[in-house]
Amino acid sequence: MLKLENVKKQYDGFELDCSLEVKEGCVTGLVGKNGAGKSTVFKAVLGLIQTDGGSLRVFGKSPGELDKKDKQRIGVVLADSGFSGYLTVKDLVPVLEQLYTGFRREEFLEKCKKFRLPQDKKIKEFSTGMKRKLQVLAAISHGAGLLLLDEPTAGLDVVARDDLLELLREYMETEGRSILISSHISSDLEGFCDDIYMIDDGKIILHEETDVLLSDYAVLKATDEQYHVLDKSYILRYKKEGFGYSCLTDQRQFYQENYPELVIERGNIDELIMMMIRGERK
Amino acid sequence: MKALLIKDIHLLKSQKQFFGIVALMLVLFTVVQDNKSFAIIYVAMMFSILSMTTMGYDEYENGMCYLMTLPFSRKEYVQSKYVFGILSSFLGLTFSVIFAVAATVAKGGIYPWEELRDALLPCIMLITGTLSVSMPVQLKFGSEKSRVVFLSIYGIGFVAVYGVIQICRKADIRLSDMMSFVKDVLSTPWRLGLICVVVLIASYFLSVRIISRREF
Repeated sequence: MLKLENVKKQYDGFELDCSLEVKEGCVTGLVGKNGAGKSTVFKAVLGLIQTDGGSLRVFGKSPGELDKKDKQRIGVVLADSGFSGYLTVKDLVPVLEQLYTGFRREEFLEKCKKFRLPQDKKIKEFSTGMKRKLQVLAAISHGAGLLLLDEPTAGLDVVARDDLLELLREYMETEGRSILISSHISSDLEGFCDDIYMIDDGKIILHEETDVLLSDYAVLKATDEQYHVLDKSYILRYKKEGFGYSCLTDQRQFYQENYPELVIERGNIDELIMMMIRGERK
Repeated sequence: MKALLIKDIHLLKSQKQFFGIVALMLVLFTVVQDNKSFAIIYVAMMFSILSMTTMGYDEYENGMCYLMTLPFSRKEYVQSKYVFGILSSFLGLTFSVIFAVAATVAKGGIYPWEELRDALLPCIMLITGTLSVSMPVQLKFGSEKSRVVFLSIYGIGFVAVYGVIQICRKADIRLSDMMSFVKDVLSTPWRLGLICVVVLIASYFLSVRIISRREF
């Protein structure tokens, strides 16, 4: 579906050098702190910026080669951009009808009603959450095969986030569809993605299947003495703490069996990000 | 392109106040002041900037970034803006001419063809000039910065004209001869039409080049 190989983009004080793949039928997450390069990845994939090197293929084509039909197969939500605020939902319907042959008018309007999006109000008067909902609804309204969702849940409350993720789960029930989704709310991704890429300072620092991430990764809490005798073969990162050391491992079971006295916390994605970014390599 | 034109028409619904003021000025200049030529030129000029207004709405809150992900090419976006600009300008022109003629007839007078022609020719030049200059400038610099660029262009234009006049005076070249030559060229409809088409096509290709290289 989507493949990036060493895609490079140079800005003042920032360089993107990214490789990732979104396979057919998979939901792939992209996590990282603000400014890590998530939006730059999305912009590169959508051909909104010119890349400085590497290979980028969407449906086997470079972004510049994508024609209208290819673009109709993509649904987009961008973190900092959307429909013109001077339009209303009612205005959007004929535009979307003209743009997408597969646009499902009734379903779109029904979902807008369900999410309480007023049809005659200008989009600029919508709350951030309402704007996000509208973008997601538009992205899934035309049977796209690939969704590119940059922070689709930003600005939403817990209930609205859950509703949107439910919509996306429904969307994934049709075979052959894929999603690349970024979010700074890791709990959204934990329960939704098949695999997760972690990006920091423009580079992918970790790629793992979500199940493996949640079952095999862990943070070990060791005192100074425990740390010095610890087998560090499977320690990915460590960080000096007041009590001793925090260590990130991808072999939780090994340490559980061999060091029963250690405090071992199952990794969640937030902790993983913290350790991967702030921790030191052994 | 149809989708983009529909979008632009919907965007203009926010311009009720603008249309109200233009209509008021048209009535004022045509009926009260009896300055029909000025009214026609004014309305055509106002309608010619509508395309740029819609570009400003497209850019609102970084909207261009999202717009460019939708299923049309950047070239089509530029095409839609030129088509919209030309159509809206001629709609304004037609409306103002019909109104001016109707107002004259209602008063029991006749609107002479020569007077109408003298109003239409500068109108066509102004519409062409406005579209040809402002489209690439706005695509390159965006709505905010383009205002400064337009002011600079007008400033440079003013200095250039002043410079030419001074040079002509020093070189003892009669400006009136030059002006009458330009007037002769432009007062022939097919020549004027040809010049306008060439200028618009050149501007269109420049705009396509600008948007193709632009990053969002």
